[in-house]
Amino acid sequence: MRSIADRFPLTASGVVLAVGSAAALVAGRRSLDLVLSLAGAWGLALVIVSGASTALAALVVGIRLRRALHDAFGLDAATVDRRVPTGLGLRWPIWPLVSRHPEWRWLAPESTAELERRADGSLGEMVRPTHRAEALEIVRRGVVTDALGLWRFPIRAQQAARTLVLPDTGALSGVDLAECLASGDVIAHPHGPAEGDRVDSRPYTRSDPARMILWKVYARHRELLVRTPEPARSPIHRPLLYLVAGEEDEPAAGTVRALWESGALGGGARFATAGTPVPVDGDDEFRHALARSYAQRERGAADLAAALAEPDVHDDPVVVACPARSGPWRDDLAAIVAQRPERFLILVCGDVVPVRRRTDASRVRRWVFRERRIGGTAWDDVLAAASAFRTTGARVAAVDRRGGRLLVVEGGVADGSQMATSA
Amino acid sequence: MSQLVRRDLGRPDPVWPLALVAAAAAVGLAQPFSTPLVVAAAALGTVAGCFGGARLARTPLRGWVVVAGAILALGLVFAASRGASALRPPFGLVSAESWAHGRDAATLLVAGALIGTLLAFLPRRARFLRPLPLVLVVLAAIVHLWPHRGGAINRPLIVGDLAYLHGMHPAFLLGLAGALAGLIGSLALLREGGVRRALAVGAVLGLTAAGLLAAYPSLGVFSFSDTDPLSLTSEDGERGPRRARSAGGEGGREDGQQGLRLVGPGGEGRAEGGPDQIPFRDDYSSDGQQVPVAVAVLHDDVEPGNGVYYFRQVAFSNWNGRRLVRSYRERAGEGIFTRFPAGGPITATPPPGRALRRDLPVSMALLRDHYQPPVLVDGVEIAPSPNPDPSMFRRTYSSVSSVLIASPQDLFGYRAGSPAWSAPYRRELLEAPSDPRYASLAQEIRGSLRRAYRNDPWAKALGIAYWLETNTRYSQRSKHATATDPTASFLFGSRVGYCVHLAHAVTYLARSLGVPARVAAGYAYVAEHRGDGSALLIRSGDAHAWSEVYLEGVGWVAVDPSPPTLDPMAPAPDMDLQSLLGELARGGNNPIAESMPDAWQPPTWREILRALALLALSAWIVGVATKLWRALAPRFARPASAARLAHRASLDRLVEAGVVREFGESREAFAARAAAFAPSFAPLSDAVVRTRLARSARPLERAAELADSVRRELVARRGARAWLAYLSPFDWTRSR
Repeated sequence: MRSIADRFPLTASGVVLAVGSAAALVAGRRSLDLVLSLAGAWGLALVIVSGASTALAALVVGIRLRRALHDAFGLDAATVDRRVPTGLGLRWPIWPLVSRHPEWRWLAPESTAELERRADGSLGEMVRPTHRAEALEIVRRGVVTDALGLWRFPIRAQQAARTLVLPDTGALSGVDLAECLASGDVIAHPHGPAEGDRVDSRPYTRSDPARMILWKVYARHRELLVRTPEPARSPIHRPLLYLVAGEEDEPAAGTVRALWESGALGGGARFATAGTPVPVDGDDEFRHALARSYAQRERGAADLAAALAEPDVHDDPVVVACPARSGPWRDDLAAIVAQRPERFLILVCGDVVPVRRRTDASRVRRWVFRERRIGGTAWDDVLAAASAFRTTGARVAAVDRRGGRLLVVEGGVADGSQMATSA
Repeated sequence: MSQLVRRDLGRPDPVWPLALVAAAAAVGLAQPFSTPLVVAAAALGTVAGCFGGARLARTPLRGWVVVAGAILALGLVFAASRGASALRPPFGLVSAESWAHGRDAATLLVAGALIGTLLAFLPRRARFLRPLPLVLVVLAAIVHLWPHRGGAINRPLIVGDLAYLHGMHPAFLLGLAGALAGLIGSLALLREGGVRRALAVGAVLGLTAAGLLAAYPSLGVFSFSDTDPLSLTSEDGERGPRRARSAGGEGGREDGQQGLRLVGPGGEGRAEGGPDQIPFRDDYSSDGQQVPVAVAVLHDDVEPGNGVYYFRQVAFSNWNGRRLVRSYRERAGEGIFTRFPAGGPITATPPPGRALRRDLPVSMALLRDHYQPPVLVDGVEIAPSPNPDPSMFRRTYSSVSSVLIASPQDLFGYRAGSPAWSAPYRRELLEAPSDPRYASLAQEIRGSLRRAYRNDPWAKALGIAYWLETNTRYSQRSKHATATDPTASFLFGSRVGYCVHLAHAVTYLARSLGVPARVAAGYAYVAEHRGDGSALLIRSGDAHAWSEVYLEGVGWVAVDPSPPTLDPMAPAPDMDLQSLLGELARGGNNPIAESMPDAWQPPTWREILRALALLALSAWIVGVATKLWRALAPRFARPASAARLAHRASLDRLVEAGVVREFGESREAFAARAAAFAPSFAPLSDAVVRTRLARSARPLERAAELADSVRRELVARRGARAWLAYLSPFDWTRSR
């Protein structure tokens, strides 16, 4: 559709104005109406003058852009959804009929972009990547329009520049994530000493030693709880972090990045993902593998089996981050997890938004008001996706990247007592 | 990399241009029908509606809800207004007139608001509707100037009189109105805010409009397409002449007075419409259009004996076995001018019968292109004449015609034909269709004449005309065009036809009785339409074909029967328009305008430049005075406002240095940024912020001194440029 629009630079308003003006001119000449005739001629003149001016401006902008690209640089470790300047300085023609509000975006790596006036009068470029990516070339697309909205002339420029865009971690804090997940054997408690500590508790059962009973808690709540041993911060195991790439996997990628960069998994953690079946353990390799995985989204969890088959991963715990939106990878993942569920922790990740269900709105309301489209997932959907993995027997948690929440799902329902909020 | 600052590209999609344009449209549409109060209410409501509609477009309300709601509300408003019209003013508090005006004002206030809402809402939801306000403005202009349609450029009278009094071209005023309406409406399309931006766009659009107005007349203000059933005119080479002469080598291009006129190449195979033959049509009507095509100015008070001014353009005399076509024999072109005069006059053989004729000089001004000049019969000379208004007239020339002033009674007794004719030419003018019904009918008509007149050619012609007037009906809609012989179909069929049928019928019947005859085509103007003036406004509806018979010693005489018509009578020409176009065709100065001592004269370029210079100087003085006042105000300020005024003065100084507070930038942030230029500015800014936030804040002491410090710091930094900045009169408008 865009390519068609690019080949036909007249906008809908321009078409209406041109056709209407031509009709007015013909009708005016037929009826000898000089007002209508001149108004029609005026409309056509307006379309022509505006089009010529905008086309010339597009030509000038194209030439200046290609010159300016020599001084621009790529993005090194930019973050999705975070605005970042690129160093491009472009002089925009300040002509009366040419719009000073250009449409500007990056086609590759896909990003929204804006041109902002700088102190020296030129326009600086600010981009906001829409997804993680690793690219060797930047493709820009701008649209020069006229001030009256009659014409749109697209321009396109390619620049050889290495770009690395990493996912946004949102409101997640790796430490808080680890605190919430540390009750199992997968992740050590981040605050515990290296040799382990008794920091957790559970209800008293027979055979528990009395010295482990938390008497202060009993005095307050009349509940008998006992201290339980906690795994060490630096477990012997080296957990494998795996990202299932797929549709709407940015929250999962962000969660993976938060876990990795916080060091919550310990120094020996390794990372594998779609397109990177051999686990990597260096920070640089992690970042490139994470960014590259966007291009391998169709592989889903296909490389998980290969990663698990690596000799040094054989018995280590595995943290799998997957999107809340289900995909063809789900059955593969469930089958792999079901083989040894005790070593898996599955994080179902999404960007939770307070979405009003269609069923909640009355029919009249839906007729009267447009439904607002907000990018994100309902919390219920994330929980439902997480609960679906409970059948595998693995530990499952739902992660809200945007809100910084994590909920460990027990038996298919959310266990509110284990909810962590790090926002 | 330069430091990025906040966006300063102007606010996109502003509402105020739309509001202004919509208000203009509301005024234009309501003004003809309402009082000023009601018009003002409509404009006010429209402006408010525009802003409301723009806000509404940002809500999640669906479009159809707003549209349906607005339409419903409009219906309710007008219903309520109608209901209120039945009510009397309560308690007689106001007069009935005031009550009615108030009711109308309230109605249009709400209606304007609703329409304004739609005007702002719809284009924001559906981009292709953005030209909607433009349409409304043009519509308003059309409503005001509607009467001029159809070529009556003297209407409405306010425009016609204005042009007449000031010696301006009314068509120019009308075109100016159309272009201005388009220009004003176009501002509603503006998608970027800022007054300066709008002024820049408006200036470019103004130049475009001026260019358009300058170029449009050269395209022919009146070169409109119109029905042209007799193919007398030529438009853009598409219609009209296809061949000037098929023999004799004359054709192609002819030098015209205003340049080259295409006479048209080829056309050999053209069956209909060319000058070689006259077309028969089933529908000859022009839908009542009476479009001006030419103006003839008579230079003497001469009226033809038969009461009709015939402007002959072409004649058809050669019977080719199927119909009459143009003849190229030596004498066939008598009284026909096949080309326009270019370098000098073109003369023709004068017709005989000088005693029966009187010379009449005529100035012709054609409003449409014609393939050859129509000349008042019988033209003896045409000569080029200067075109007084090339934007109006396609071509002008003068002619001298030998007008037959003898009455019909005076033409009895003359013999038919001319002894000077060659035998083939005489045979050609007597050749009639082989259909025996023509001869039979002709003899029948001849038999109905008195015995004494049965051999008189003119009596025969009059008898034929009389028979046709009493036995046929005139209608521009007939069904003969597809017949093998349309004339026979008319004459021996329904007997309903138009001038072409009648002219052919007269010609065939006259020839059957031995009277040389031919069909002429051009324009016929009824003399009584002339009134007291000397200008004849020839309209497209005056296109006509008539028959001519040749009488020895007289020449070609028109025989033009007028049977009862089945069609509505064509209206007489507009006398005002006829007079106005006559004045324009004469090219002389407007006598009325000259007699008006206070008549407005357009300013000269020198006057315009002087006025502009004065305006610029005044603006500069006002700007500098304001600037000085703002700079000196802190010295005379009360303690309570000293900080504010000193802050304002310092802001002005900073603006001069190019340090401007951006939109959205807080005062504190700006003060921090400006500290690099003037460190003394920070305490001033801080004092102003404190005063704004807490009214009980203690007034800043030494505010004027701080302002002075800012000035000194900037002078020290910028040197002479700081002093030069005082000459810039309006940079203080950027202070914020």
